[in-house]
Amino acid sequence: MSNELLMFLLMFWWLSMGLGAAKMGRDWLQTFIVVSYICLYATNAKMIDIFGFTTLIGIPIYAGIFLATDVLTERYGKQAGYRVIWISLAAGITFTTCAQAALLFKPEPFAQEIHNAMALLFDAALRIIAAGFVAYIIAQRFDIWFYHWIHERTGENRLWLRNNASTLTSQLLDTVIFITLAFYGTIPNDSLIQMIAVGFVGKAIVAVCDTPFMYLAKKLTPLDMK
Amino acid sequence: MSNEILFIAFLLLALSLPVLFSKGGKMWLYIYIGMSTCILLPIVPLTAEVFGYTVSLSTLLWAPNFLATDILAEKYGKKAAHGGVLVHVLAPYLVILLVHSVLLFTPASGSTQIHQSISEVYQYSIKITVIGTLVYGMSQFLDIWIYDYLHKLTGEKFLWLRNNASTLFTTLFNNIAFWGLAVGSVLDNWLAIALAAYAVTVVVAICDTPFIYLAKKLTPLDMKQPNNLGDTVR
Repeated sequence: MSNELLMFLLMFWWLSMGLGAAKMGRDWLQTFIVVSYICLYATNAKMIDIFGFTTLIGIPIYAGIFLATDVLTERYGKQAGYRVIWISLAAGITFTTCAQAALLFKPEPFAQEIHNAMALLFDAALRIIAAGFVAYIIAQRFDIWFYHWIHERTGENRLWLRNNASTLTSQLLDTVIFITLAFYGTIPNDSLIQMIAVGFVGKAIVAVCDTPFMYLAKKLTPLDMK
Repeated sequence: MSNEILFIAFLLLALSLPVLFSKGGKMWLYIYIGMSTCILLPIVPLTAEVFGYTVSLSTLLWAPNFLATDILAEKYGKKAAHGGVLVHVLAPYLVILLVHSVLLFTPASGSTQIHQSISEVYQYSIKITVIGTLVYGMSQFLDIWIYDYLHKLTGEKFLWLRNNASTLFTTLFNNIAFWGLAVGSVLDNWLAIALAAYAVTVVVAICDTPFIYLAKKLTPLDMKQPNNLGDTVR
């Protein structure tokens, strides 16, 4: 299968998972967001070519995370949204600490190979996790603030407007901060700018695709509210 | 640093994590359990020699999950603890779905090495997840059954007995079944690995007693001010 087809499949798959978490209720939404984020940062060092452009693997996963975050703030309020940012940060720091601590041990001879692979992966992940979380905190706080700012002005209608406007602006912020911090110096500046552009366009497509899922999620009655 | 000192430091770190997360409340404990399954999957094959035994480092992070479910049961009731078990069973499937979907993509020319590292680190993750969650689910079922049985047999007294006896027995079952099924066909010394893992579990189970008292003393943030954070009260 081509990367393009796979990307769309993975995106819709992850959106459906987000929808499932929305149905199950608040605990599930938060766990879904945090687990997705951690896995994303453990694998996000991998780059792929899509439509002739080089970009990061994480874009389809972001779709599910955007959806889950928007459902969380829409349904449970601003503070719930702010809180999940800090929970993700704490989980990310814990994940990195544990991974690095496990790598301090001198492995058995037969585990040496897996130790090396893990060291390569998690050392690459270290800078990406740090950059990712700086970008994530700034962008998500802005996203939630802007979402509620629009909500206060336009009322209950125009879910699509606050959903898309907040996600698009905050992801522009996120992409610029993340890619600059994560890759500045390791790749030429030309491709840095290209990666930002491609990353933002990818996330913009993903953000628009999650709109019907957002309306579906709004219709669902979560199990913990029945 | 020698592996032994690292082992003790890692043990203290692993045990204080659930206590720290329990300060945040129920949600934070669920997140802790979900997070720990993310880290468990890649490090199960990572083994080191500690005090002359071959120990998988994952056991050190796996065993404190029992502390987390104990805190959940102690503070939020049996239903919350079952929620913790469910997170432990379901979260690894989310991880392998994500990681193995990521591996399907053809990597860009610059990142073949990263791609290979990911596939090497997560090469056993499907097997580990299926066996691990099956065995864990079964042993939790067994745990509740033994706990109940001892409860009927000895009455209200002997809380420490049913608590420790059920956990020590089920983790023996859990470790032997898990390591037997996971590496039994590959490594001849799987029983030694399983027993070493069980020994680590026992050490963790005994060492966690002060930590559970500590967690009991802490007032979680979600119990202090139920309405102050804009939450729905549950």
